[in-house]
Amino acid sequence: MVGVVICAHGNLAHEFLAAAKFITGNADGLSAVAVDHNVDPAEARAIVKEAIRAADEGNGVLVVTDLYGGTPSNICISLQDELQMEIIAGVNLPMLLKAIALQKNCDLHTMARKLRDYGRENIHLASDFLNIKNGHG
Amino acid sequence: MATAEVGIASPWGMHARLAFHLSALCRTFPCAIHIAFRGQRADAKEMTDILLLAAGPDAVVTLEAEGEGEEDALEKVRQFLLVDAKAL
Repeated sequence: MVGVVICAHGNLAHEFLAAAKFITGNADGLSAVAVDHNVDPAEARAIVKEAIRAADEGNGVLVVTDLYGGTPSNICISLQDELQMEIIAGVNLPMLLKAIALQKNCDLHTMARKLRDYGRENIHLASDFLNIKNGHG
Repeated sequence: MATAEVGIASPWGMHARLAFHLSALCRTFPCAIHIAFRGQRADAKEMTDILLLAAGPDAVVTLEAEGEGEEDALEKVRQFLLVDAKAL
């Protein structure tokens, strides 16, 4: 199984994990790690590295971050040569729910590309969608 | 065009809060301001553009200002990255 780690600012990673658990009832293949700006950068990096390492069952880890170029993302990018991992920046909940569905029967790199596309495809402007449904589009 | 190289004072390098406030500062100037790092160049008035540089700890970036008030803008942005960035 491909491990999935959510890495984000503040409590965001743990809240995403809680929402995924609430919806699916079982998100055992997902884990969350927060980046705390109150610790020094080296310690934060070590915490994130350990979270990713712990999630690796041998098939690699997909790390999803909240914002490309933000500190959680930058830390993960700095680990890319040390760990078997892919990074998607711009996590959303549809992406996480799809990750649960894919992680047992997909390889890391295929899963990363599928989830990036799935996350993009599931951002909607609700008024457009409703107008089409009501015949106003 | 006015240019300057500056090390980002934050131990985290560029990060979200810093990019947000940097872009807000840059939008107060009429001139165009760009920030370059490792061969990539970003519009310093756009937060997400700045973050695409992924300028982590110890990053030294190049600032470029062009147009009305470019010298003044460059100096204020330089000071922001050298001084104010520590507190963000």
